[in-house]
Amino acid sequence: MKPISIAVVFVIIILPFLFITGQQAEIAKEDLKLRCYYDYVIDNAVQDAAFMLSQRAGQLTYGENPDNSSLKDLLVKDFFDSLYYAFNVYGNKTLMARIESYVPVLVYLEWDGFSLYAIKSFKNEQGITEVRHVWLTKKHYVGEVLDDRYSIRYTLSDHVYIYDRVSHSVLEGNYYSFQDRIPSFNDQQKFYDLKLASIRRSIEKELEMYMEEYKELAGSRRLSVDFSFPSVDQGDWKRALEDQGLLIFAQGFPVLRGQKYEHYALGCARIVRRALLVGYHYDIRKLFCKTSCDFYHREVEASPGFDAENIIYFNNAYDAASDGFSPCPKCRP
Amino acid sequence: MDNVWWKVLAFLLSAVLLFLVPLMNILERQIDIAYNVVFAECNRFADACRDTGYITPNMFKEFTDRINSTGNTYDIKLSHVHRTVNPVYRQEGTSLIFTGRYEVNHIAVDETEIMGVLFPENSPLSVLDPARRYEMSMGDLFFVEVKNRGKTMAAALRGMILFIDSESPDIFVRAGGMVRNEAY
Repeated sequence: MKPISIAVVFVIIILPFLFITGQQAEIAKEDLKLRCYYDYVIDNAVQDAAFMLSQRAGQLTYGENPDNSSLKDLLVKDFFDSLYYAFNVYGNKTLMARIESYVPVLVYLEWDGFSLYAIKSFKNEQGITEVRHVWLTKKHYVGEVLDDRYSIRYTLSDHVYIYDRVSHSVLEGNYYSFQDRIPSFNDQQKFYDLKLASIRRSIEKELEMYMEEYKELAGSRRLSVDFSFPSVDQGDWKRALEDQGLLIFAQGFPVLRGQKYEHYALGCARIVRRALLVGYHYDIRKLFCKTSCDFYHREVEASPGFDAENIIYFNNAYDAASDGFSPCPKCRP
Repeated sequence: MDNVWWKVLAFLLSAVLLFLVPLMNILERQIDIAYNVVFAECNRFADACRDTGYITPNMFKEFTDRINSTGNTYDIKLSHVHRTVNPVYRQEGTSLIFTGRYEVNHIAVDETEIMGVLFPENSPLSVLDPARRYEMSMGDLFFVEVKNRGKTMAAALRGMILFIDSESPDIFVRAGGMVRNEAY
């Protein structure tokens, strides 16, 4: 065989392989692009919804107990509207329902509890079975029983509700006002850890219960999407649980290859979260510290001369310094 | 005779390998680069509009200049959905009673209307005039969609080699979301 023939045979053999691997690489690239696009759209929609929530809720305060039901409905409407328009399917009922089925459950986090907005099958007033998203009952952030006596209901802030099993009384207030009764509340970090774990567990428990129900529903209705328990990073839980917001789980968007698409996204409305720095008068000095400062909660607030009227919140150290406040020597903000 | 067929085959293969394959590769890389540019610019433009709440002729012109620098021509579609939240009232006799529900209404504004504000015909207004600024409200939805017009070189060549005629555009980007500010 002449060299040219060898070259021709070689090329004929190698060409299909090159073509196939090229195509595979192309599909992998497109798949990645698609997944990134879904991530982008979903994150965007959640942020939009949270943004609108913070805009609307800005005028409300917790004490007045606003009509949360319409706020909630508007929130999920904002979220889904943003999704429909991002995928350009608004008005097309079939495709809209399909997108809804990819987001089987949304968790709306409120100050004193959370509610799930999830796909359910139920009989409507006309006796026709409907399968769609509905609000489930609001649940509280209930923690474990401390000292075999106190069952605690947490909130997103430092406020707690305590049920005393011995005296059958309900107490409420800031956690540090119960420091003498409940030793775990002596340490701020310990309280935050307890709070975080309780909130997380309450939500996970609720989601697990819903998942069982969803599996049955998906089995009987042959919904193509199966919903598995989402894994959320510890860091994201921390972020989630500091503020009112929306946590959504999206699964099953069509992809080209590989594992099924799974994504969770979180939007916080920044309503509960206070400014980062607090300024106060202490021993004739003007000081500012982090709102989480141990010294501030322990010593300053408990000192006899402390005047709660005098405290000022700052967003950053520059604002505080320009008002003549010096940084706290303990937490060094 | 045998030899001749080998030579023809070798010639065809070398034509494919020496000319078409590298050319195809270059063109496809070009599409990739163009896609990246268009993707980035679309997001930048959409985000700018969403963060300011308006579109000015200069913003739009800069956006089109940037994506046209990729050497392709594009179809640009802007869409704005104005959303209003209205309380739902129920009529009982002669009085209206608030039902406690809200209704979100959507008003879609199409391309021609937006363009009519940005680039009015025979208008003496300068590009910096506020009247030529298209304004949106907070909570509205704004999207920009870009796809390449006609066929790119790469698509034409691919069609020729693989005997396919694909209608789907090589470059398609859709970006946007909710308007978050009213900075006018």
